[in-house]
Formats: sequence, structure tokens, C-alpha cells
Amino acid sequence: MASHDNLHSRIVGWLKIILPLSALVLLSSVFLVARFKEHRGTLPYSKIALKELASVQTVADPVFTSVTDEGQHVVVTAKEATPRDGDYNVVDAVGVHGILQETDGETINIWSDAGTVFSAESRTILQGNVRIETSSGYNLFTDQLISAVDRTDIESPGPVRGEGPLGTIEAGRMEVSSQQTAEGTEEKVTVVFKDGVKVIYTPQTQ
Amino acid sequence: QGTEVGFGNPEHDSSAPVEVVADQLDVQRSEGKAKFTGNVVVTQGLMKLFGDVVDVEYAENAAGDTEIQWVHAIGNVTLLNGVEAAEGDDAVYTVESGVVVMTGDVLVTQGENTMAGEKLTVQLETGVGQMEGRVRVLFNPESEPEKTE
Repeated sequence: MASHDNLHSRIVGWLKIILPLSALVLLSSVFLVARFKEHRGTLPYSKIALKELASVQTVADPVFTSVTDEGQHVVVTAKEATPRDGDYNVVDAVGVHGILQETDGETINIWSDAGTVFSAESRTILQGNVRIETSSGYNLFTDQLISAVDRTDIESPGPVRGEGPLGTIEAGRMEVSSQQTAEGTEEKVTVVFKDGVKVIYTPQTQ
Repeated sequence: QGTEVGFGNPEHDSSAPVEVVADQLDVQRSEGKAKFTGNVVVTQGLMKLFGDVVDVEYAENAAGDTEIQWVHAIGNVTLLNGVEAAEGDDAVYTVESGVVVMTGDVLVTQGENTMAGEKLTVQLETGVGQMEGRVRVLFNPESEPEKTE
């Protein structure tokens, strides 16, 4: 019987030595493995992109507001605006939306794919799917529009087409301008369609 | 003392689309006035109205749709209505009632005959015209006289 007990205690004796040793080995290998992992993987930004980002001050969702001397409120927003080679006089913008609030309550909304604001001449040139919508019922499309920012003076150098209060309208050119009335009391907005115009009015059958 | 004159097709439909073609259009936004200038041609069905300047007055009706109240042609005005032509200095066309009133040395030509007077009122839908003011009928001597009703 004794030998049997002897065997048992000898196994336990050995285990008391082996088990702590293997625990030690396991523990140290964790640190070994960890150290290898550190040096791989590249930085997310390449050097060139970094330099370019630093030099170009692209402004996201810029807002340009001004009040003209005749009291019209002008708000121009865009998805992105980038000053051209550093000077803030010329700013190129993408996804432009201009809102003109006339003093007589009329609102003119203008959208375009792209535009450039020349603040020195307080003028913007909008191009690409230009759409003009006025609260008086005009909804016009053209390719390019030149609009002053300090007064109501909008001009489309090319053909314009769309809807007006009278019906569908097509014209070679269009100008929207406002003049003080003779007495100078309130300002009258005139829309002129030039270089040939065609209007189709469809009477509403009662 | 108007003299009746037949004036073109009686099936004129005054609810047909009206097309206006011109060199230029000025719109005074607040007053609902549109001024067409330069070779203006107003076409509705078979009716054609020519003028140097055409003023169109429009307003919003109860339903909120824009309705042309009247079309006022000024200068070298010619009204064609299918066959006949009427010329004058000034013409006002009230779209809803389909009535054109032309004034100023009015001359109506029907084939070889012409009728002159000071004022011509045409009901486009019935094709009947009333000429008033020093009405004179000028027969063309070569053709045999035609009876004017």
C-alpha cells in the first residue's frame, strides 16, 4: 500500500514544480509575441496629399451674405468653395445656391453646378444646369448666368427656357434688373427676354 | 349703322393655346403686364394677329391660374382669320369672349373686294364682323360686282 501512496505523492511533488514553470513560460511568450506586431502597417496619409491639403484652403459649406444698397438680401451658399491661388478676390464654388430677397417681397432662387464669385467686381458667374425660380412664377433653365451681388442685375448670355406666369417661354437671352421708380419710392423689377422670344399660353378651360 | 362682313372660320376656339412670338418681351413683374415688341405674331388656331407692339394684360383668376385679360396690338396691325385679312392701326383682342375690336383706318379684304371703315368688331367664334364709321365698299372694277350681304 505504501508504494501506491508513494507514487501519488511523487506525482504531486513533480506537478508542483512543472505547473508553475509552464505558467511562467506562457506568460513571457505573450510579451514576446506582442513586441513583434508593433512595427508593421503604414501611415494613412501619403506625404503628397498632406502637402496639397495644407496649401489649398477649401471651405466646406461656405455661406456668403450681403445686403445691397437698395436693401435686397443676398445669400449665396455652396457645397465647397476654394479661393483661386490664394487670393480671396476670386472664389470658385461647387453646388451653388443663391437666394435674393427683393424689398417688395419677391424671392429669386438660383441653383447651379458651379460658380465663381469675383468679390472685387461684386459679380458671380454661375454655370452648369443653372435654374432660376422666382416667387412670381418663373422657373427657368439656362447654361450660364452672370449676376451682380450688390444689386439686382442678372443676365443670361445664352438661351433660356422654362415656365412663366404666362406659360412656357423660350428666349435667346434674359436680363433681370431693378430700377428705382421715378418717384424713387420703391424699386421695380423688370424681366427682359431678348434675341427672339416665344411664349405659349394655354387658357384654363373653365 | 354697322355693316356686316363675313370674317373667316366660325369654328374659332378661344380656349386653344395662344402662341406669341416676338423679338423682345419686357415684363413689369408687379403689374402683370407683358410687352412684346418687334415683329410680334399672336397665333391662336387659324387666327393670327400681327403688330409692332403687343401688350398682354394678365391676372390670376380665383383658381390661381394666370388668365390673359386682353391682348392689345399697336402699329401695323393685321388680323388674319383663315381667309380674310383686316388691317388697322390698333386692335384689342379679349381672349375670353373671342372678340377683336380693330380701329384706325380699318381695311378688310375679301378676295378682290375691300371694305374700309373706322372700327371693325369681329366675333371670332361666329366669324361675323361689324364695320362701323364711314363704311365704304370698294369693288375691284375688273371683277364682276359681287353682292355684299
